[in-house]
Amino acid sequence: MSTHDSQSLSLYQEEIMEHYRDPLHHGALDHATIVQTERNSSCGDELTFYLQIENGVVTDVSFEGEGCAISQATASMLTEDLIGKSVDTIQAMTPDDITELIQIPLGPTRLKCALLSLQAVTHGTAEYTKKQKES
Amino acid sequence: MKSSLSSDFPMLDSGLTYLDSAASSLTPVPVISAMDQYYSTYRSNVHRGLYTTSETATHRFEQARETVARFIDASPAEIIWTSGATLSLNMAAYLAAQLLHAGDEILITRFEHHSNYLPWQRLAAERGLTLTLIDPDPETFLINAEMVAAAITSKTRLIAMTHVSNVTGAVLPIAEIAKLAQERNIMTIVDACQSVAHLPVSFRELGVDFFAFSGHKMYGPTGVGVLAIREGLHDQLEPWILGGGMVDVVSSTTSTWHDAPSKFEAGTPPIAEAIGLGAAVEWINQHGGITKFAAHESTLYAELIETLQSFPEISLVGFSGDTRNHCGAVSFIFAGVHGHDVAAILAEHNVAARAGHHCCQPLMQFFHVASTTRVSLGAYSTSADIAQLAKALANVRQLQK
Repeated sequence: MSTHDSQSLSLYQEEIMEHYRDPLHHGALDHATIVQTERNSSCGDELTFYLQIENGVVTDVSFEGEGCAISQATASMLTEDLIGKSVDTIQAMTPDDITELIQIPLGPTRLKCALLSLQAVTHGTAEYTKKQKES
Repeated sequence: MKSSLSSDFPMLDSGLTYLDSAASSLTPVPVISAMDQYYSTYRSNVHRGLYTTSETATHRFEQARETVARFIDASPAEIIWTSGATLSLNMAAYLAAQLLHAGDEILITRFEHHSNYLPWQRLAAERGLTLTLIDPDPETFLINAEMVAAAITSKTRLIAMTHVSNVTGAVLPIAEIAKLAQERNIMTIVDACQSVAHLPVSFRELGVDFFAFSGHKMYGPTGVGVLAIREGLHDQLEPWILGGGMVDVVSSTTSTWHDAPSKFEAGTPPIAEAIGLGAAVEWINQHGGITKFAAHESTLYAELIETLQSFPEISLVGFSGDTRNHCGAVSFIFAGVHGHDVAAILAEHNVAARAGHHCCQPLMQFFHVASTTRVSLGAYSTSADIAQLAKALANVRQLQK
């Protein structure tokens, strides 16, 4: 029987655990410009992102929802990354940007957990841009 | 200590602790060899080939049907090969629907896997049938025959139910329920995916009309399953899928069918897989049969429950309090840790388990949880696997907030 204690918690490195235990910008944001909820159908997790936009740039951000350590920590790390970014930049973000941000190797199943935040902000900003163009 | 069976499972060579047999069991070497032999020495289509390899293929394929029929105590004509239990259950819904009328009621249980839920849900919507759910007892989390009897109305024409819950391992008293149903002329459909490899079953003695299971959850290959249909129903049912191999005479406007099983098996069947499943049954028989597996797994199940209950952080989901009511699978919640994180920590300790809704969202709603972590046993499972699980679970504590 082989054991893998040396690799124990490899996904759950210190930074991930800090963000998971004490997430940044957690909770609803009053008067947010963009509110976007996404759901992971395989586990039922739900994540809502709130973005405050001024002159096409994110000035404030928050998130709330239930989820695993990876989805919660990624959301927390992403909030910091988003402030000061333009709506266009966020809309163009890719899964690679997320893996670069969190710096841990994720298999395809856990990648979905991490990408829930990306979905929320890309879908939210795309919807926002569409509405801006229509009005 | 390793299981005496483990040498038959190359997947276990790496020291993997495999506790996900409810999703798919591992495959023993004789099954792989039987399929290899088909592909490398007598690879041909079955039936009607007038050359040796086709005759061999037909013989081995039909032999597998006889082996599987004996295994569940059915007649070979009652064994319909499918691609797996999902197709079996969809086919059962289509076939049974021929005997239903608008206004009839279908009873199903809250335990059902989506594959024994969605076909009935859609059928009810399309055909104006009533679909009624039987909930487990709120204290024991079991469904007994009295509860089913109480749910039956004058409109009830069909009961579809699982034999064993893939989430909680709860065993349903199928024979008792089937007796109630027979007395009232109600059809019965059983999802036997979680029972055939874990409990001795007799299709004849259970007395049900349709009985569905997958090969890959009983040490056989993926891509093959069975729908057993009670012989008495064969002439009342029109086939669902039409094509080659099932036809007696085709004229320009009408056609007639062969008798069962061919009638229900249009197209080239999963030949290698059926032969593989026959080999899986032979392997089971050579190792003492399901009675022996059941005894081994029941001892381990008690050990597993005891281990899980030794963690104050763990709450079992849907456990009745008596292991004799369960087999195979157990679900739990680790306080303050998401199921995906529990399964990921287990994976980091080389323990294969599963987290999620297990294709049973209505049951998750009953338990008021989004997901659970599930561990499940097979004949090759050992006390060492449970010890490794305990060790891995101790590490999950680090994720509590």
